[in-house]
Amino acid sequence: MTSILDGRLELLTPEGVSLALTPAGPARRAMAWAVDTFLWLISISMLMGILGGSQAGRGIMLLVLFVSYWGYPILFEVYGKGMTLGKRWMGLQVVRADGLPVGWRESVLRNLLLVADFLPFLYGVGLFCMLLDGRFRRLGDLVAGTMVIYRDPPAKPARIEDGQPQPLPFPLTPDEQRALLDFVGRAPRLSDERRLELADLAEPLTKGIGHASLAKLLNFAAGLTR
Amino acid sequence: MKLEHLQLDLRPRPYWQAIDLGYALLRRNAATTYAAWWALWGPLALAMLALTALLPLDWNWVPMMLIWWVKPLVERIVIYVLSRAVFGEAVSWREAVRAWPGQLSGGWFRVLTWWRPIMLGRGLYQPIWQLEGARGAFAKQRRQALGRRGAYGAASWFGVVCAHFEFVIELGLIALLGLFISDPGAANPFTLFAMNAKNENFWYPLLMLATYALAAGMIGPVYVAGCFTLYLNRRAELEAWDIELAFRRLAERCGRFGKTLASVLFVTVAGLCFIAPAPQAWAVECEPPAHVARMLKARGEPQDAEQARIRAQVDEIYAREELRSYECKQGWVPKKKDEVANKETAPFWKSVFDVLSALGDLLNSAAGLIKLLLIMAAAALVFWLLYRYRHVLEKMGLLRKKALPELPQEIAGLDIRPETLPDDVAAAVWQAWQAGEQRAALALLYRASISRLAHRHGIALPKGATEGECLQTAQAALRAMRLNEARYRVVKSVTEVWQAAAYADRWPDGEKVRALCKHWQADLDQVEAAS
Repeated sequence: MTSILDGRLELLTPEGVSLALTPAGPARRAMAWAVDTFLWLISISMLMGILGGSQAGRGIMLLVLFVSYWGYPILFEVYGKGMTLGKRWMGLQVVRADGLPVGWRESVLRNLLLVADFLPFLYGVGLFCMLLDGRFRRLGDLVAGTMVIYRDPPAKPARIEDGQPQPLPFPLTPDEQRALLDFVGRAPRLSDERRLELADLAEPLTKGIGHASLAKLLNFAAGLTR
Repeated sequence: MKLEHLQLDLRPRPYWQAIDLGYALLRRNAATTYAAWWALWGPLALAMLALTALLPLDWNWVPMMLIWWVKPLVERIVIYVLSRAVFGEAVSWREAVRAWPGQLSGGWFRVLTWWRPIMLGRGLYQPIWQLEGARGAFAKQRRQALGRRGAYGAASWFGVVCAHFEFVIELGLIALLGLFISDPGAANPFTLFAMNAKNENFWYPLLMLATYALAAGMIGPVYVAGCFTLYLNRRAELEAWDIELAFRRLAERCGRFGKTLASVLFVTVAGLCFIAPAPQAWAVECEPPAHVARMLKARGEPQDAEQARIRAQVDEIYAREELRSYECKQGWVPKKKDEVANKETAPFWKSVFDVLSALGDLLNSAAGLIKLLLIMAAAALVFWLLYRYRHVLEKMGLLRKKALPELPQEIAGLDIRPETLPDDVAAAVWQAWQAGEQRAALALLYRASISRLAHRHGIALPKGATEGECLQTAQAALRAMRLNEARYRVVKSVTEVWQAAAYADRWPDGEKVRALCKHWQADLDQVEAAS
C-alpha cells in the first residue's frame, strides 16, 4: 500500500509539535521570480533616469546594478522573513529544511548558486532540478539546505451560529470532529441532493436520515463550537 | 469510482497547492505516463520532422504549428493514465495507447478550433468530456461550476507558466548545443532565431522543431497533471469527497463498535456518566469587573450588624454563576506586539527614494570628489586587505617575517658590539702590534671586522658562526651584490691572517699588518667608501 499523496511535509519539533509545511512548485515560484525581475528592472530604469546624465552617475549606476542584483534577494530574504517582494505577493517564503527562518549563510549560498541554476539558459537547470526533487528544490536550495514553502494564512476558527447546541452521543476523534465542522461549514455550497446524501452517510452518528440527520449534524457542530 | 481507493489527500486547499499536487502524482507514475505520452508524441514529432525536411523552406512553420495544434488531443492519454492511477489502478502504456482513440470524443472540435489559441486553462475542462462524459449544455454548466472561484484563472496562469517553461527548455537545449559549436555567439539562442528569420539554412527549422518536441514532451504531462489535480481538488471541494470519506470511516468505526464492543462500551459509558463531575466544578473564578466593583463600593459602610449580615447573604447569592451579571471565561489574549513590527514601510521607502534623488543631484556636481573618494577607498581597501592577510603572504614567502633581524651582540663568543671597540681601530691595532702584543692586535682586528660586517654593512651572521662560516656568509653577500669586492677582500685577508696566527702560530710580518690596517681603514671602516 503506497502512502496517500499530500503536498505537505510534516516536521516534528523536539517539543512534539507537528509542523505542516507545503513546498511550493516551480510554476508559482517562476511567477514570483517574474514579479521580482520586473520590479528590479523598473526601479533600475528609474534610477538610471536620475543618475544617468554624467559619467560619475553612470559609474555609480554600474555599482548599483551589481549590488542590487545580488543584494536584493539576500537582503529581503534575511530581513523580510524569507520573502522577496515577488514571494510576498505570491504567498511564498524561503525557510531552512527544518522550517527555521533563513540566515545570511543560507540566503547568500542559495542566491549565489542562481548562476548554476541559470545554465544553460534562463534557469533551465533550476527548472529541471525542481521537477525532479520531491520538495521542488533547485541546486541553490539543495546546497544551502533551504526550500520555498507556501505561507498559509492562519486558519479561522469555525463558529456555527445557527442550530441548537447538542452534545455528541459518543466521542469523536479530532479528525472526525473536523470533518463534521467542515461539512456544516461547506454545506451551503453543496447541492441539495449531495447534502442529503452525505447526511445519510452520517446515520450511525445521528440515528436518522435525510433532513432530520442534517439538522442533527448542525446541532452537533453547534455543540462543538459553542 | 471508489473514493476509498483515492491516492490523493483531497481536502480543500488553495488552487496552487492543488496544482503542485500534480507534480507528485506525475512523479509517482512517471514511467507509465511518459511512456504513453511519447508513444504518441514521438511518432508525431518524427512525422513532423520528415514533413519539415520535405516541405520548401518557406513552409517550414507549418509542421511546427501542426504539432503544437494537436497537442490537446495527445494530452488526453495522460488524463487517461492519471485518472486511473489516482484510484490505485495501474494501466500499462500499451493499454493507454489502445484506449486513447476512444477518449477523443467530446469537445474535440472545440479544442482543435477556436479554443486552441486562447484557452490556456483547457486542462481543467478536458476531464469533463473525457471522464464525466458530459456533452453540450450540461458540459457548459459543469465548466462554469468547476471554473468558478478563480479555479479557471489558476489553470490559465499555470498554462502560461508551462508555455514559458517549454520555451525555456527549448532555448536551453539550443544554448547547450551552441556551447559545443565553435561559432562565436552561437551560445546565444537568440542569434539562432535571427539567422532563422532569413530562412537560409535547411537545418534550423529541423532544430527548432526537434527542441520544441523535446521540451513539450517534458512539460506537456506536467501541465496535464497539474490541471488534473486541480480538477480533482475542485470536484472534491464541490462534492465534499473528503467529508464523504470521513463519514464512511466513521460509519465503519461505529459498525465495528456496535458488533463487538457494544456491551463493554455501554458499561463504560454508563460508569463514566456517574463518575463524571458536575460541569460547575470546571467554572472559572475571576475578579468581578470594574462596574460591579464600583457598585459594591458605592453602597458605603453598612448601618448596623443586621444590614451587614443581609448584605453578606445577598452578595453570596449574587456571586453564584447563574445570578451574577458577568461571566468568567478562560482564554488566550494576544501579547502586545512589538511596536517596531507594526511600523509602516511605505513612508520609509518614500524617504529613501527622496534621499536617493537628492543624492543624485549632488553627485553630478561633486563627481570629481566622489571619484577621488572612491579611488582612495579602493586603495585603502587594498592596503587593509594586504595587512589583514599578511600572515598568508608570510607563509607564501612574499614577505619576510621580520624586516630587520635584531643585530647580534656576539659571534662565537666574540663581543662585536661597536661600542666595545676603540674609536680608531686601525691605529689601536698598529699600536698593539708595535707594543709586541701581536695576538691581541690581530684578535682586535678580526673582532672589529666582524663587528663592522654585522653592524655597519648589514650582513646577517649566525650567532655561533666560525671564522670560515663568517667568510662564507660574506662571500654569499658578495655574490648577492650586498657587499662590494674591496670590503670582501679585506675581510678575507683579515680572516686568513687571524686564522694562520691563532691556530697555526704563523705570524705575519709588520709590513703586512700595517698594509692590512690601511686597507681596513680605507675600505671596511667607511660606509660610503666604495663607490
